[in-house]
Amino acid sequence: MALIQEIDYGTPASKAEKRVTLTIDGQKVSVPEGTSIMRAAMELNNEIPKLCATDSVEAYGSCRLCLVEIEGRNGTPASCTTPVADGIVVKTQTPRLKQLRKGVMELYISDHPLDCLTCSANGDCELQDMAGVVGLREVRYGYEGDNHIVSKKDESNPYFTYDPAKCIVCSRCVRACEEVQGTFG
Amino acid sequence: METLDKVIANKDRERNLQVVEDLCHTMKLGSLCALGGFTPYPVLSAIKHFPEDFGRGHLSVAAE
Repeated sequence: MALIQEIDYGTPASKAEKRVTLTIDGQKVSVPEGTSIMRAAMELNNEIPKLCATDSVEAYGSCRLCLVEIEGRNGTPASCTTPVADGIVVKTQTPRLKQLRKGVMELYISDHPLDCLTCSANGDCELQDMAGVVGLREVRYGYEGDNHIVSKKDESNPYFTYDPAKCIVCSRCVRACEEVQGTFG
Repeated sequence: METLDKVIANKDRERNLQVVEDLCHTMKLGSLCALGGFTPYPVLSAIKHFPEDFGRGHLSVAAE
């Protein structure tokens, strides 16, 4: 477990001076221009489910868990890659979004080992937390199809182990290496 | 594909067909790219207009 529990705003802070005001789940919030909807929601303590986003690297939008609805706009954009705009009305919890997030999570877990109790990340695992948040209870695809469960771990690097069975292909590790560590490639 | 194979093999057909439909709806709105968002359309059309091919009985009217 991490010793210091800090709030993760999901995406880095915007340095813009101009502020925009929007409504998220009925609450008004004013944030600097260029802020993501995810971060604006977090300012209201409204934590949108997420896996690939974290505030120390730029938004990427691969996990598809932070989808939201914006009144008057088509579809369900990812809240991490969608910047705020003046006057927009955002909904982060609707039956449609609930169904979508559950559907995405079901796909993730369909290619993930079910050894939570003996996994080293047990209790400190965002995938486990999000499965709970979206209310996933069963994986209807079954586990007998093509998967990465038996794939070999890459332990060639002394600082991390890459286990294809547990990877959700969010690119967070690659982005951290490039943006934070600066040692990519 | 694997789930559709189960439907074709008549394994728990109706339940698996529901899984395919749910997957299509997830893909339609959840996809990052337009390919993922559009791929479900032919699958859903096939299930809707040719239900007998998926063991759901005939349509009472001809497809438009």
